[in-house]
Amino acid sequence: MALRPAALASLCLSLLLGGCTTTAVTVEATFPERPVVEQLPLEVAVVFDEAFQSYTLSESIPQRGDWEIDLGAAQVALFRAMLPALFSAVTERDVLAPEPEDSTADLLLRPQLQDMQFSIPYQTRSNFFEVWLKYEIELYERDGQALVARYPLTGYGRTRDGFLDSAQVAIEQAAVTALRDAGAFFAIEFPRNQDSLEAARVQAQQRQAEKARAEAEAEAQAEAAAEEAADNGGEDATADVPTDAPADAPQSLREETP
Amino acid sequence: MKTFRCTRGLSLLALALALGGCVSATIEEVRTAPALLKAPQEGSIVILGRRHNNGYETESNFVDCVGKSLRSSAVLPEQAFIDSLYPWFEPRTAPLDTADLPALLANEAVAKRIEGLGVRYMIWVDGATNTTDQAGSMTCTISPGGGGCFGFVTWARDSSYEATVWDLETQQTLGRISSDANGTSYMPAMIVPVPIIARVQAQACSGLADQLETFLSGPVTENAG
Repeated sequence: MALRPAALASLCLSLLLGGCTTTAVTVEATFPERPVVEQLPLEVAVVFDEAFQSYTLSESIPQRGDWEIDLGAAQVALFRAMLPALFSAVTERDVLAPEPEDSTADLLLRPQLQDMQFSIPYQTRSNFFEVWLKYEIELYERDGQALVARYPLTGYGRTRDGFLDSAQVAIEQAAVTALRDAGAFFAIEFPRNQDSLEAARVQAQQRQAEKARAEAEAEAQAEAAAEEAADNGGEDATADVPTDAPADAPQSLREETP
Repeated sequence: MKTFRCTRGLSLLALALALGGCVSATIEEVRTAPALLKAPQEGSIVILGRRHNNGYETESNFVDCVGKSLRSSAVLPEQAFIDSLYPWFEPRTAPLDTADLPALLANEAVAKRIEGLGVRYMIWVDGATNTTDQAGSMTCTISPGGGGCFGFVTWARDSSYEATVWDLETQQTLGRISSDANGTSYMPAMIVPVPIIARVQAQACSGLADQLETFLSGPVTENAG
């Protein structure tokens, strides 16, 4: 009899804590190794930065607790399976930076997950767990600075609410379907856009050349101005500039002042 | 006492099986080609579920059921086929009509992969099983002295599927078979719930598989394909 109040209290506590549970989902998936796609004569270095590799979505659903969906490893696995079929060579990088001298990569490719959303049957009054992914694939020149193009990429997946399946399994399956969907779209559409990619590269190279020319011109102008100032300053300096010039005077003038 | 409980349990199980809910099924076939050009060979059939629709998607277990119920030749597993042709048979990228086949098969790599798998007939299954109505209630109680359920629950389910058979060689639709089944399940409970389940989806599956069997073992044009 003494146990009864304790059992009742435990039951009440578990009911109260029911809404505070966290549903943790780690998406684990293997993707088809060699997609049936045309291989492009391009070598890329793919950048999986830290945020991409460890992406976890945390969301709270009223009356259904907190949800944590770890997608990082699965999305890296998708790109690792897909990119070698699309490009003639693929190397991996952790950060976006200029390629080393000995690298043969033509482009740097950085996938960025911009948004991830999911829904459960309780929210949509449907029979489906759903996952939406929104990526942007950034392409850079070898210097890691000149942005050539941005490819928007979306993925959608859903799983029917199974009587015997847990919500974790259903969300994981929906996420895998969404990843496959995004990968399929990229694998089919990217090779079709080679002309626009080439045009974008030419534009990026032109922009880079213009920038370099502008910088060179600005530098030349600055040098000319400095020389002129030095010539003029040299004459005036003996007359006007005191030897104990203020500390915040321009460095170049101070150095070049006789 | 133990013997009594065991006997009672077995009786209830037998009763539930005997009283399996009633299912009514309708099968229809439309043949758009007079005959197959070639009899299906081992592994030359793949059955795929449609999953691009907004409100529903064909259940994988139904597709598996139809594949396993076909006796004429071994059917290539759905997921193995989809994986080996990734990314061309995902919900967003799969061909919706035979009109999409020329463009798909013009891709040399895709055509080669399908040829390598030996697939000649592609059967698309489109449809779903839904609960259309439910009523009643049941209460279950557990106490230190024992437990039990009391009440009565009933629900109706409706299965509606259509299979479309494509010939990849001629890139034509050979025919369509539809299978509809519906039935009502009951679960009365007097201490122990006794489910009387109408196996609606299973009935639709066996009906569709039987008709596909007849369809695929139909007349074959000689000296062809």
